[in-house]
Amino acid sequence: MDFISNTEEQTKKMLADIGVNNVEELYSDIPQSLMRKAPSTDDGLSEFEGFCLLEKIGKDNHFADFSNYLGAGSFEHQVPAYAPAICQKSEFLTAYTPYQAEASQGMLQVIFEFQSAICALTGLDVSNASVYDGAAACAEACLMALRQQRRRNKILIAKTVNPHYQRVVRQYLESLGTELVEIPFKEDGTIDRSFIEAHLDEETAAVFLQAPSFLGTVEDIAPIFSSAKEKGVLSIVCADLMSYGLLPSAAEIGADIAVGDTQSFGIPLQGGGPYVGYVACTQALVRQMPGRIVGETVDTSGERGFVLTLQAREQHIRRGKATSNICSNQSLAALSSLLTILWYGKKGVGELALSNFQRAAYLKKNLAKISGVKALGEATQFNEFVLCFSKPAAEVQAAFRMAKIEPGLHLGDYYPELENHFLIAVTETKSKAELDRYVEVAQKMLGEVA
Amino acid sequence: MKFTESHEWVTQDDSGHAKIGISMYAQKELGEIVYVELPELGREVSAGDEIAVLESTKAASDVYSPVSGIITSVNEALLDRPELVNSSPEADGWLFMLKLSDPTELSTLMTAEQYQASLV
Repeated sequence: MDFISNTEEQTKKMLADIGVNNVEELYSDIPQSLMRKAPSTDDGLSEFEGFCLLEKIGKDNHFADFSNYLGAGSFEHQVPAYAPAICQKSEFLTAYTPYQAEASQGMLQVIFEFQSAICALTGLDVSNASVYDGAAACAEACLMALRQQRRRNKILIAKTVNPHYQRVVRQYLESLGTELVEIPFKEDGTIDRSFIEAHLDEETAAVFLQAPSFLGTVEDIAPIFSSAKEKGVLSIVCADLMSYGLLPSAAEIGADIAVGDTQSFGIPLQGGGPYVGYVACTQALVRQMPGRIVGETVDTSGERGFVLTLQAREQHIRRGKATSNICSNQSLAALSSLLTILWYGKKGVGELALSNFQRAAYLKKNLAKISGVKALGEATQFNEFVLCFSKPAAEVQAAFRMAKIEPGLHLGDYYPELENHFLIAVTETKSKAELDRYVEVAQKMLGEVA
Repeated sequence: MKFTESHEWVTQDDSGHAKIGISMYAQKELGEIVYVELPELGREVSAGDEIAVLESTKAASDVYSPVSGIITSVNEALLDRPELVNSSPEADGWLFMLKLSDPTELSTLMTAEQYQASLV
């Protein structure tokens, strides 16, 4: 059935009234090249033929045979088998908070527990039910700061925030007329602190850093956030959630808003998404929080229950004046992250993070011994670090790929000043033998005999 | 005390300042107020501007400034005790004060009698 119920006669009359001959004429401004071609009469492939074709194409995909050191926001971690087993329960298989939310207590409890896990890891007071991904979380954090700070309309954002996240932030903010000032990094990859000091003024709404930075460096950013506070500037920190297992929490370093992706916990690489963005903040900012928040309460008979909380700021009530226009979240993927965090537990998350750190440190140390390999700066890392090989990036990639290793992300594609530098991610999935093989391949490539 | 169609009240003092809040009728309609968002000091407002937000358990409603001027003070007691808007909307639950830029605007507003009559 057609969605438009006009009869042919009514359509004719309307066209005559506005003085056009036919409906197609209404679309005459659209270039022909963009118009949809008439559907093909070719029947295409049968289900079986299609299956065979896809299988054939799939055989060209050799990524799974490679030892992968790509990270940069999408990390290869082990996902405990029980996480997908529970996620696949039909009760959970939806990305939405249900309409008639309170009728679905199980779903609300999942979101509440997810929020509790985010609060525990970031140390902050409040978390929402999640947003689309880390990039969206970053953009929403900026909008929160701008709402809270009212007249202040400038945001300082570090160049060492994930460049993809930066692009999303820019896209959100450019039409609002917000001034986005890029904080440069020094030759050793660390943040230019004097630049920040010089730019913390009365126009500045927030300072936005990533820690560990996109270049993997772990720096003490608490002093930066503390001087921001003195100037009335809000502090936003973006972090891989897993890093909090080892490093000080967002609350401990003085952040007002903590954002990032939960992909490291329980979400496979899956081609770049869907992932889960988390947003946590201090109590003082709770009314600027975008998206849904689930709270705990008691019902009329005193039993524990869960409710959507602070709904008055949401779009189904506030319409165009809503705090944000996010009403979906990533409940299913968030559940997978939650399950994984619970699988490891408080102690286990710390050990997992430590294991990531140790393996990355091991590879970094052994690579740095090779002549022709240079680490970027002295700063310590979490599970990612930057190295420069004394050969052109394409040669490095070719040599490693011959050995079925994807050596890391070439940073020259993102930062021209870091040509031939690689961002190398090492997680708990890499054994000592694998790491030693990476070193061997590097030695051979650079002419050192192993 | 003068009133607006959007249920704000305004009083004027001798120094050319106006105090603004919402009417008894408005607080009843809104229900239990749980949060009040107040304007920033020094902000210049025109009559009719959205200037504050009252959040109840079920809705968030805008408050419009009945007159033009510059915000000189806000009722900070409401940050901890938003319920004052319910218990004392026309006295302790006032919202903000401004320095009037055009005192003649007050004459365009309703008297208490006119306002009461408009509610019927």
